[in-house]
Parts: sequence; C-alpha cells; structure tokens
Amino acid sequence: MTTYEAKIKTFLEKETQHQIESDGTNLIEKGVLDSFSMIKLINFVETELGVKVDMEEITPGNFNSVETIARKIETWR
Amino acid sequence: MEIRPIKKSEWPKLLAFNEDEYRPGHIMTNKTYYDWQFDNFTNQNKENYSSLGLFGKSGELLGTFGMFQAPCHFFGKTIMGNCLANLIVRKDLRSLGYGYLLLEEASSSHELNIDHTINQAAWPMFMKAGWQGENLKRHLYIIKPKNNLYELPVSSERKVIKDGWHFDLVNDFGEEINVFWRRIKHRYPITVERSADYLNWRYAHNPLVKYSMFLAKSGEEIKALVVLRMEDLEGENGILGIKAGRIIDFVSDEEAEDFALDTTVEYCRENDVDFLDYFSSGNFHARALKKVGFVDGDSAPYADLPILFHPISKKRTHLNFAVKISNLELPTPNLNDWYTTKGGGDQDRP
Repeated sequence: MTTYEAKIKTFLEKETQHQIESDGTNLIEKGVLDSFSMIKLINFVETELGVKVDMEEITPGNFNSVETIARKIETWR
Repeated sequence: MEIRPIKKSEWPKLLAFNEDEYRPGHIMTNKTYYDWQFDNFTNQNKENYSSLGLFGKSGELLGTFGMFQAPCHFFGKTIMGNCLANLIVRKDLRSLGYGYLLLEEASSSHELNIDHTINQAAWPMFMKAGWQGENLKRHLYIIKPKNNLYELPVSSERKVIKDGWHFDLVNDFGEEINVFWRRIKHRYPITVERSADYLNWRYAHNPLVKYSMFLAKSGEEIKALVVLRMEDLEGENGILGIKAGRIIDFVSDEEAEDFALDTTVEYCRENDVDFLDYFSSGNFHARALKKVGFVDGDSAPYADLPILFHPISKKRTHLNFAVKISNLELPTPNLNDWYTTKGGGDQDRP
C-alpha cells in the first residue's frame, strides 16, 4: 500500500465509519462515498496532502476506490 | 468548471440536458413551465434564470439546481427567501460531490432557504449540510366513503355558523389581499409573504395549472384565503372517475378558519369530489381542522391513500420540507415556526 493509499484509507474510514478494503472495491457503488463525503475527501486532499484537485477529473472511473484515488493524486502532484 | 446562473439564451442546452437526465416530455423540458417557475416576479435579471448550472470547461452542462426567490415573512421582518427546487447532476457524475457543490452555492447566497419534497437519496446530503426538515402533515376529509380506490370512514359533518360570512371565487388579487395579509401574517412566524404579486404569479396567472381561489369575507373584509385544485385521479388506463380536492394554500384569521374550511368542503361536495387533502407544516389551523372534521391522513386507515394521482402511484408516500438559515445573525427557529403547504415549493406541478 502506498503512502497516499494509506492516508486516504484512514481518512475515509474515519469520515464514513465504514471499514475500507484495499482490494479495489468500488466505494461509490457500495454507497461508502456520497456527494458529501466526496467533498470532504477533496478538501482533505487539498489541505492535508497539499495537492490541488482538478474537479474536471473527478469521475467515477478514477475516483471510485482507494487505489484509483491515490493514483490520480499522484498525477496531480 | 463553474457554477453560475443559467442564461435564458442557453435554453436549448438546458432542454437537451433535461431530456437526457429526466426524460423527454418531463415537465423540466417544458419551456412555458420553466420560464414561469424560474423567471418569476422577483427575478430582475433579463438575461438569466434564477436557477444555477454547473458547467464544465467546454461550457457543457454537468448539473443544475432550479431555484426561485420569494419574499418571506420572518418574525415580523421581510426577508428574500430562496426556494430550492430540482437538483440534478449528469448520471455519470453522481455521488462525486457535484450535487453538494450546487447545494452549497445555492444556499450560501441567500439568508433563508427552503426546499420541498427532497428525495430519499438526497435527504442525507441536505442534513449533513446543516439543513433541518420533516414531513408535511396530511389532513384528509373523506366525502365519499367508498369508490374504486378505497373504502374509508366518511368524515363527519359539523355545524359551522355561516351567518354574515360569504365565500367568493376570485380571478386574481389586488391591494385588498395585501391589507389582509399584513393584518394576519403575525400568525405565521415564517412563511412566504402572501402578497398580491406572489399570489398572482403562483396561482392566478399560473400558465399550466388551474386553481380555484376563494376569499372568505365578513362584510367586505377578507378573513381567509383558500386555494383549491381539483384533480381527476388517473390509473394506467386513464381517468378513474375519482375526484380529489386539494387545498394547496390556506391562510386565515383565527375567527374565519372554521367557516373557510367547512365551506371549502361544501364546495367540493357540490362538485362531486370524493375526498380532500391539505398538506401543511407545523400545527397551524389544528383546532379548526379537527372541528370541521378533517382527520390525520398519515395514520391508519388513511395512510394508504396515495398522494400522486397522475397516474396513481405509491412511489412517494409523504411530502417533506427542509430549511436552512445561512445568516448566522438571524435567530434559529423551531421547525414548527415554519408554515408551508403543498403550494409552497415547486411540487404542485401540472
């Protein structure tokens, strides 16, 4: 697990009160991520991880699991 | 990406978006309706609708939040209220935060926000965003105890004194309704101002829905306003031969409540109505409703009576409302201070 994956997993577990598996689980389909938690996640990425988020790239394809979110953040660094 | 008011000149883009995200033929694809709802008497902007759009980098629509403004009575003051209506985000972008962005933008720009009939999927987002809300109460009056749809106890007729009162059907509203409203609005701590401007826009000059508007008077003085809509219930194969009378709006002097409600029932009885309903928040008019014979429509055996009639559907069983005060200097009211009815939002549609 990468550093970003670990930080995102910890944040989401605290925020959503769900156990997050690092197995590519689709967090949107599973109902873990909703509009509100997504905004909190974006705020976390920008303020705590210091990475500017490009809202145009927040799509279900690249923001649906801990792994895809971490990969996308890497590209924004 | 930007959130901004939708320009009236962007109607073709909005129409295509609404056809994709709702369906062709949905009320949101009807320009007459859209122009009426989102370019109302308070909108001073000639170029823009009052609704918001979320636009991508190339100017494509990603989501919309329909909203309109109406002056509200708020504990003796008049504040411009923001009535939020339809929130929708492109199907492939849902649950990604865009709906929340639209909600925040819509509600942060006004002191007083109210929304009606928020669906189950969106309700948690509103509550997390600091809104508070609850279901409207449904008050029912059963005139015909049995028809093709239900078998329910008939509501009992009560003796209401009518000497000296009259009940006039009106076509529109003038200064006399403003005088009436200024006199009685203290009864409703927070509600839409029932000014002539509002009532003419909302009911009298509604381009798509026919309302019957009554004034209860004692002598020449207005004592109550009742807005009634008659609906023929539809099944999958057309009209069922069952008629509902719906009290869409009601404001009244205390002394006129019994007469206005009872005469509305009588009018419906004379017009072959099977049952009446009236949705409202709080505990307003509770004494008179009980006295005239209205029952709690949210309890057995009445709760099974559908609220959607075109066609009859149990997909929705309640109407709700939610509110948010964005100006922290305003007092935080109790939900029971808010008076709203089925006519208060955008849900009483054609």
